[in-house]
Amino acid sequence: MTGNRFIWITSGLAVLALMAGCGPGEESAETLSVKVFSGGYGHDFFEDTAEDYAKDHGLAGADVEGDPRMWDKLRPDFVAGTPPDVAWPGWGMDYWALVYDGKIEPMDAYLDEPAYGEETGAWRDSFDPELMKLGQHNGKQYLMPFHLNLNGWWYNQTLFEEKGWEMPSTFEELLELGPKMIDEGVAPLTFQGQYPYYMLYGFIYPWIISSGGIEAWNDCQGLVPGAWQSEHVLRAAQSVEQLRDAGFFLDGSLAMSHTDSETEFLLGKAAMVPVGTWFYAEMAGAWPPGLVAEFMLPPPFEDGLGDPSALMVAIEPFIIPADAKNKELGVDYYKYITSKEMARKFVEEKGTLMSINGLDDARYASYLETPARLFREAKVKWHSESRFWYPALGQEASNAMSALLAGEVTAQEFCDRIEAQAELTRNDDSIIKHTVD
Amino acid sequence: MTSPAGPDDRLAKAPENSGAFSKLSGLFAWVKTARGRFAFIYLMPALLLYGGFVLLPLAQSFRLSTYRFTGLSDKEEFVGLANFKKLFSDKVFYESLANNVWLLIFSFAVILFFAMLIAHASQDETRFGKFLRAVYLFPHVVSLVVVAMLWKAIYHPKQGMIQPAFENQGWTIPGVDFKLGILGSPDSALMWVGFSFVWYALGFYIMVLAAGIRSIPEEVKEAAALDGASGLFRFGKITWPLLWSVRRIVVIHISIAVMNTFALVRLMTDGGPNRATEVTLSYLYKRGFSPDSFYGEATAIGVVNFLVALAVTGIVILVFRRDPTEARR
Repeated sequence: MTGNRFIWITSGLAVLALMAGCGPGEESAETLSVKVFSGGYGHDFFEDTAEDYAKDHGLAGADVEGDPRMWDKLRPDFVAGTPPDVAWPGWGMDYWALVYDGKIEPMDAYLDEPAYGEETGAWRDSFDPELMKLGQHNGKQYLMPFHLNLNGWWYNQTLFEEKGWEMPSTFEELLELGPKMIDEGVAPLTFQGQYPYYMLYGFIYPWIISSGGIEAWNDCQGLVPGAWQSEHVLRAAQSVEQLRDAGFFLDGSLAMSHTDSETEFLLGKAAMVPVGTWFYAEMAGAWPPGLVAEFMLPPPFEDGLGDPSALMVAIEPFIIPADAKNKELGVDYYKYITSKEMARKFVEEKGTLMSINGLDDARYASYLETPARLFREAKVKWHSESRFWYPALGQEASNAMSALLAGEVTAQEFCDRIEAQAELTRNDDSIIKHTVD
Repeated sequence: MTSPAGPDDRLAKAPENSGAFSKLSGLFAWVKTARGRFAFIYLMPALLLYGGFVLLPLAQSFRLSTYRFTGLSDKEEFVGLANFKKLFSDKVFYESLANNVWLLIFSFAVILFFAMLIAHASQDETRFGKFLRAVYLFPHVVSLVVVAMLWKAIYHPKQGMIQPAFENQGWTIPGVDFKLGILGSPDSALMWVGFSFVWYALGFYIMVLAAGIRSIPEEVKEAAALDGASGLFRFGKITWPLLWSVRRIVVIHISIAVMNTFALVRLMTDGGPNRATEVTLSYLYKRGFSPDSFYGEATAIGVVNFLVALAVTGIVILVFRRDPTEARR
């Protein structure tokens, strides 16, 4: 075959192939496109449910993609205007920037419709209203909750029973118990020094609420002038100073990542660690056989004004992108996985709590029984969304936390430093402000 | 085979005292010739790739640094130099830039000293020299992510190799508070990150310097030996001056590598504790990707980082502008 003939034949075949692709063929049914964060819970649940949903609804198929850094992978999709029909971007996504740029579909109209498989009622009633608040801005619902994270502390129950220690239910009890632990060669606490927001969630913020009630914390999140310098924030910081100086923290914790410090906890080097309800899923591979750890609330002050049952809640939102090709399909699939049947399946398969109401009869993993009870009993459910509304403020609070634990700043300087950043945020008109109620 | 080149196929045709413009017209004239066209066609794929994946994104970065852009949607708003104004009033940026400069000085000093030492030792045809030649490049072929994980494990306050050993002996390390851990001690964390970088990068510079030492003409070495020069004297008077051009390349390369430090910091400390190890690119990531989405402002950091790297390179070229050995000729 001569060179020219080869070129002509291959070119002809290429044109034919293109025509076959573009020509009027069988009308294709829609495909559901789903992109989800693939962390401790994997993404097989979404693959299975999307496939079932596609079959039941006569779709051409379901395209489900999972990735541990889905927030990064979604960026070019949003910029190019080709996002999936429904997404769970994961904890690293700046959701509010997407909301401000009009890239997330408001859900209010859909939430007024009946839930999946129901004839009457409103879909919004399926969700815990406190958790729905986390996704609202200017009266509209943008971010949708799915599974639920609770932040608190975990204590090594096996070690506590072995040593005859009682779980401290107040800060004062913690101060009494700590020296006994240290005498036994166990540090009362470790923490995830490389990611200081764990310590803010585990120490500072709960103690602000314990000291001054939820209003003290709402003022901080709401950028009320002077809120970060209030006596309640100061007391919380002083309490951390007190624990630090009394040697309550495991040596080297400031240099540890989340998995480093949690491993030290599992090895029995520290008796308690501040971490959320994802702890077991995150450390399942390293969990020593027979070790029992239980969830507890950060011990509140005995004389605090705050409700001692106050509990920190967090969601990792699902979103319907405004530019999605099949928004209705995305919403309907999301309705499907938030039906009681599917939500129960997720709870039982993945060992997590859900933001869906009416799952009290679900078979929770044993380590989630206490968190589920505490969630039901909590009179105050609080959050730390200001970290996402005002990331620079969150960063400065994290840095101040590191400095406080390293002894580089005093409690008062800790407060002053965050207040200075809060003031910058307050005065920066380019930063969109959120109201706290 | 006859060459397709004609008598006018020479780029060197440009006048001796030609400026940039006449050099450029000389280049165009050359491309018009048969040999020029031939070479140009073969260069096209590389030029296209370089243009598309290096020059275009670079130009795009300059453009985006003047926009308000989240990197999460197609919305762009021209803000002129506002991103730069904000950056130059941001104390965290200065802190991260200062950390870069510290890393630069540390890397220059440690890498040049040890790379020269090992490159010199590896010249010997002894067992030790052969051993050095066999192993010195190993760290450099390991992925930076693995290097970060490896050193993080070595520095681990409880399971690591350094702190537990020192603590067991009752020894201390200057600047390290064992209560905080090696990477948790704000006073020294950056040095330990820098040390990991040096460990990773050293092999490459040993290779470059060793090649430089080998390229020193034998007759020069022999003449020095005949004149009785040996040891440090020979190194100071022969090897060191003759490695002038190699040293220039090494210093420029270290400058660029240090200004591009990101993965080690991101993985080992995430810029902590209390920003003690924050460098410009880790700060860029935080401003532009996670947790913030000020992509335009982050791009401004990238542009400044590029200009600083360019300036450092320029200073290095100025310092090394004249070959000291030329004056002796």
